[in-house]
Order: sequence, then structure tokens, then C-alpha cells
Amino acid sequence: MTTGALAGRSIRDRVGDRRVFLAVLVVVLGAVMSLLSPYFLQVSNLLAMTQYGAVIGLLALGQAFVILGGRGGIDLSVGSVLSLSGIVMGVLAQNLGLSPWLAAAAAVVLGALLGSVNGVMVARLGLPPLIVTLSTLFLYGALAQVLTEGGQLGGFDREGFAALGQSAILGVPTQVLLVLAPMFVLAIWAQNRTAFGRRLHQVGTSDRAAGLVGIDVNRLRFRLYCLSGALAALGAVVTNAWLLTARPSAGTGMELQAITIAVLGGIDIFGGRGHLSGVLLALAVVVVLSWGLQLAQVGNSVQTGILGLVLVGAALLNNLISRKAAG
Amino acid sequence: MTSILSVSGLSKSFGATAALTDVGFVLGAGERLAVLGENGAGKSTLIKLVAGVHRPDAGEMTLDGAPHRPSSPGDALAGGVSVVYQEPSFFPRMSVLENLFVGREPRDRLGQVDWRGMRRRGEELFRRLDVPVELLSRRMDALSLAEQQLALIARAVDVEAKVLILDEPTSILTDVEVRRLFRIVRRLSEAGVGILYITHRFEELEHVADRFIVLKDGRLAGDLPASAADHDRILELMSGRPVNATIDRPAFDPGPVALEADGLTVPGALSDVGLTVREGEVVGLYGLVGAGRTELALTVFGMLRPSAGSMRVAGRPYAPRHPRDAMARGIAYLPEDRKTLGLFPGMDTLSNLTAVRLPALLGRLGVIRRAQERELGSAWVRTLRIKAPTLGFPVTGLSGGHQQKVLFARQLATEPRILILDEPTRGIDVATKTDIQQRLVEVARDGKAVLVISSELPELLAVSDRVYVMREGRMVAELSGENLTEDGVLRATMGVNR
Repeated sequence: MTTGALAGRSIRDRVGDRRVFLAVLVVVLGAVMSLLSPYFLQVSNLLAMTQYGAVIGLLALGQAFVILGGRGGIDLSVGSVLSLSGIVMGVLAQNLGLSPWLAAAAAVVLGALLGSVNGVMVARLGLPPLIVTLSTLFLYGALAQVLTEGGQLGGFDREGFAALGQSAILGVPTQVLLVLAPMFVLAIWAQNRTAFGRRLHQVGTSDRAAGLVGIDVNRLRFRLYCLSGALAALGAVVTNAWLLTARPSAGTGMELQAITIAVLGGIDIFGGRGHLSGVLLALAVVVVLSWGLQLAQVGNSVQTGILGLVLVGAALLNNLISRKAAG
Repeated sequence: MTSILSVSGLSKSFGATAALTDVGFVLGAGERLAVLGENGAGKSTLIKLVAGVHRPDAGEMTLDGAPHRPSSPGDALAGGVSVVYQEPSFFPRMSVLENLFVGREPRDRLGQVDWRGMRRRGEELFRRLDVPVELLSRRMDALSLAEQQLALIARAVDVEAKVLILDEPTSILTDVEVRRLFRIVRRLSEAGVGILYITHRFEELEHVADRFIVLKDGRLAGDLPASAADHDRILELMSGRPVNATIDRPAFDPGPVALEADGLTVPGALSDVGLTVREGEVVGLYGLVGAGRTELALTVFGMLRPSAGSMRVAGRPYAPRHPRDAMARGIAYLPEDRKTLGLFPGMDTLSNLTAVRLPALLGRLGVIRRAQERELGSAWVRTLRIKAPTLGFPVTGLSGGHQQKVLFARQLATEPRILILDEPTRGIDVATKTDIQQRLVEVARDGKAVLVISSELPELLAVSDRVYVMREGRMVAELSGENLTEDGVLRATMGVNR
């Protein structure tokens, strides 16, 4: 019994450690950044920081769901889904003169549909997620380019739509307060309190065991890809409201950032384990890091290098802690 | 005859379970020794000790006059002990030839693989063993199971084996292939190789063995020449195990038939299998590993789709397409492999316990009614006396027996009409074992139909009112009342007539 109790505590410690570690990291990075650049802690900067984080946070959330769902789950197509649904939203708003709000709703539905293509191929046909979403990464990206012939679209600055991306309520950017925060709250609540959250972890742990307790494994996994697509499209909506232009390359490279945040947040790459609240903290780490480095005029390539170091450092730390717990 | 392998005082325990106790025998050069015993008698452990997979806790082994203390399978192989396992391992995407010489490819002077030399040696070897030479260039995974086995035997032989261990080599072979295998074994023994032959088939003994030893509960129960291999004598040696702690099994009036299967056929697993289970009754299902017991359970539970046959639940036709259909008809299944098919490691005790019952614990929007869930969990923890510090305790922190109780509770919590338990007490401590055995009898007497699969005959005899015996995918016997004895079950299992 004693050993059992000890094992229990160390597992809980480990979970705690990851999130505590990330929280500490945010504070430390913030301190370092404010030393590097005197402008870092200015209110306007904090605002801009979270505006940037809103988009990538939505993508990371979707990514986290897909990875949690197990069987090698990963969604490389989120960046392209963002680009394509953003472009389609632009076509609807600019070329067809649709209300940007309606166009936004349509974009989210489209995102879910684009995700469902991944879902069908992964869950129903059993193809490897890496290959499927790599293919749609290229396919959707190319479609976005073809639709605009490389140009950009607008028509979003109507009916108060720009407020979603450019205003603040009580000092918090609107897209953070009304989109990102509610989404994370909803997701964390769903993970901890609903049958969906429970089954997500069961499916992520073992397909066969989940099937034996009566879960429709394929249907659940299909839905995760739809969800990831819809969240990426929501990211496009927020981007369009923020920048007021839709570019076919808007989401390029974002999939890797999204994966980085999910994994840094403690989502087990093999599925079934991890907390979405950790993803939120990891988002804060990445945003602080990249924004701060930008302010300090550290070049883009060095920035990504540092992000890589943080990621591998977190993995090493986790490894170290879990090995200690096992030994 | 000179001794090639001699073993004395060999013992091995895994945790608290003694797998092998004080076993000794001598294998002569060119001798063919058959090893017999029930499931769990210690045959596999014995092989693994000789083959260097495990290290013995006590005892000595001598190979060809020198001490044999292999530290790894590679070490044992280098010493001349070659094994063909029941579930062979090889590189499926490489050719047979590459598989034959993998890790020991002949090299030319430049250190490159000498393909021509390799091919020549492969052909010589196959001719010597009377295996078709054409097989050499085929890919391993393009071969039939029998051909794969032949190739592996060839590989085992080519390493200048002094001792060749064959672990139930004939279980997947057809008669023709079996005869070819016997020829090979004979040829090898004439060349002086000592052969340890694990088998469950009595009818093979005279063809493959000069002598046999019988293991029972990890101990040597007999060592006899093949001339004395009379079936009754062997069965006597194998049976007679102590009965489990007493399980109270009150008399009952069998209720209506709850589950009925007829002519179930699953290609490669089941042929024409039928059974009935009544309410209030515990029905045992016995057979050797690979006899098709688990496949039968999986078919009833909707995981395997039969190609022929029919089932009825409570008299109404039943054709499940997946486990959810089975659950909807009140069938619960406790899978054999606790670790990979049962538990959700990394999740807590409560969510493991309520995994199947969850739909009944949901409010609007699929929100889990936590108070109700905890209540259900605590009730089962109390009823089954599950030792968990808290409901939120990680399930992998519990002992094996209590993990199993959590899974048992998971099924009972759904209030099933038909409960199928696949090896419900494997690998758990004696006290918990008795507890679960008693509980499942009570569950049946409560009006549920219980089907128990177990490889432990004493357990099955203690809990079952009736026992079916399967052999090679077929139902070969149904025993009850006076006929339900250890001897009767073993005879049916081994295919020995009275």
C-alpha cells in the first residue's frame, strides 16, 4: 500500500510539475524579455502579444484534441485549412458582398468540412494521419493559391466585424476575450466533465480497449479532425478581423507551431494523456518568447531556434521526471 | 548414449508464483525427448531457461560437458541451443534466404555480403532437410505458416545446433507437413542433435519421441521411455492437481436459455461451434491455448464476424456487428488481457470502473453526473472490497488482483444478463482469486448466465456447473454431473478416447 500511495503521488506530481514548470517558465521568460527590451511590459505590447496568440492558440487547441485521440493522431493541415477558409471567407465577403459575419459562419462550417476529409481518411479508411494531413496540407494550400491567384481579399471592415480583431474590452483584446478564452474554457470543461472528454482519453489510450467498452472509436476520431478543422477556420475568422485581409499564405507554417504548443503543453504525442490547461500555458510561453524576441530584434531564424531549444528542454525535463518517478 | 544437455534442480519463480521447481532431466545426443504438461505446467519456462531468455533462480545446466549458463538468447544460440518458438519471429519483408542468414551473412574478402555463397549454403541446407529450394527467394510473408515454420527450423538447424527445441511445432501444420517435419526431426536426431519437443498431441508421441517427461505445476511428474507411453499413464501424471480453496456452489434450478450458438464458424479460428448457457448457471470453457475459446467469446461479443452459424439471446435472433450490439442485449465481456484490452492506464480508478456504465451517468450535454458516478464507484469498491486509497487513485497503482476487480466491477455495474469472463483470475494473488471465483458463482445464482474461460482446470471445475471443451477450433465435449471430472476434461482436451 505504501508503494502504491507513493506511486500515486509521484504521478500526480508529474502532472502538476508540467503545468507548474510552464507557469514558472512564463514568468521567467517575461522577466528576461522585459530586461532585453524596455518596451516589453508596456500595455500596448501585452495587447499585441495576445492578439497574435489568439490565432495560434485555436490551432493548438485543435491539434491537442487530435493528438489526444491517439493512434498517431496529428493534423498537419491546420495551417492550410486556415488559409483556405480565410480565402473563401474573403470571396464571400468581397466578391459576393456577403455580411462578414455570415461569411465567418460559412468559413467555420467549411473548416469542419475540410477537417472531415482528414477524418474520413484517417478514421474510416485507416490511413496514417501523418500522410493524410500532409496531403491535405498541400492540397488546401494550393487551392487557396489558385482561388486568389496569389492575391489577397478583403471586404471585412463592415458591420463592426473589425472590432472582433482590433478592439479591446477592459484592456483585453476582443478576440481573446470572446473567442480564445471561451474556447479554452469550454474545451477544458469538456475534457474534465463530459463523457466526450472521458472517451477521448480512453480512445487515445487504446483503440481495442475503448472498442470493448462500447465506444465508437472511428466516429469519435472522425469528429476530432472535424473539430480541428473548425477551430483552424475560426482562427481564419480571427485573422481576417485582425488584419482585414485574407492572404492565401496566412496559415503557412502555423501547423508546426500548433504542434509545438500542444506537445510543449504536455499532450503525450502517443495520445491519451495530457491536459488542455497545459496547452494554454504553453501558448503563453510561446507567445511571450516569440513576441519578446521580436521586440528585442532577435531575427526570425534565431527565434525559431530558441523555440526548438525550449521544446527539447521540456521533453528532456519530462523524461527526467518520469524516469525518477519510475525508478 | 552420451549426454548432450543435462539439467538438475532447476527452479524459477516470477514474483510469488513458482513457475518451475527442482526440475532435472538428461537429454542424450541424438535423443528425442517430448515434454508434456497442461497449460501453465512450466513447459515454456523450462524452454526459456534453457534458451537463455530467463535466468534460473537455482539449478545447474550442462551442455555438451560444459556448464551452460546463457545470459541471453544469443548466448544460448552461440552455445548450440536453437529454438523454434510457437509464435515464430522473423523479418517478414525479407526473403527466406536473408532470414536464414540474418546477422551471420557470409562475407567476401572486401567485407561485402557473399550472396552467391549464401545462396549455395541455403540450397544445401534446404536439400538436406528436404525443403523445396524454390522457397529461398520468396519473401517470408508470402509463405504459408507451415512453410515459414520449415524455414525457421532450417535456420535453427543451420547454426550447428547441439540441442534443438521445438515448441508445439505441429499446431499449425497439416498432416502432410507434419510427416515432413517428423522426417526432419528423425534425420537431425540421427545426426546427433538432441531434440526437446513440446507437444500437446498424444498421437504424435510415438513418431517424435524416444522418451518423454511430464511437468505438473512446475514440477517433474514423470520421466518415461516412449515404450511406456500409454495414454492413461500420462493423463494420470498430468492430472491430480490440488483443488482450489472451496468455492461454495449451491444447487440451482437452471433457468431459461440465455445464450445459444449454433454452427458458428470463423475462418481460421472456429468451425461449427455450438453452445448454450442458461440463466443461473456457470458454464466453463476449457481448451489449450489456441483452441479457439477467446475467439468464441469475441464472436459472441461482436468483435469477430462469423462466416456461418447463428446465435440467439433469450430466444431471439442475435447477430452483433460490434460490441455495442452485444451490450445492448445485456452481454458483458471481461477480456483476457487485462493490460492491453482491459485497463486504461493513466486514468484513475473511478473512470476505469465506470467506463461501460458511463452512458447511464450522464446529464444534459453529456456532462457526467459526478456525485452519481462516485456513488456507483464507492458502492462497487465496497461490494468487491477493492483496495484503492481513493476513487481518484491511478488504476495502475493498484495491485494486479485489484485492477482485475475494477474490471470485474466495470462489467457487473452494467447489470448484464450474460457475463463472459476470459481468464478472470490470471496472474492474481490467491486470496483475490478465490474472492472473484466465489463472486462469479453468486452472480450466476443471482439469475445471470455466466460463461467462464480458464486455462486452470481446478478453477474451472470449482466454479462450473457444466464444462465445454474446445480443441483446434471445434467443440469436442460437453461435460456435466458425474462426467465432469479432471480426467474427463483432460481426455477431451488431448483427444484421447476413453
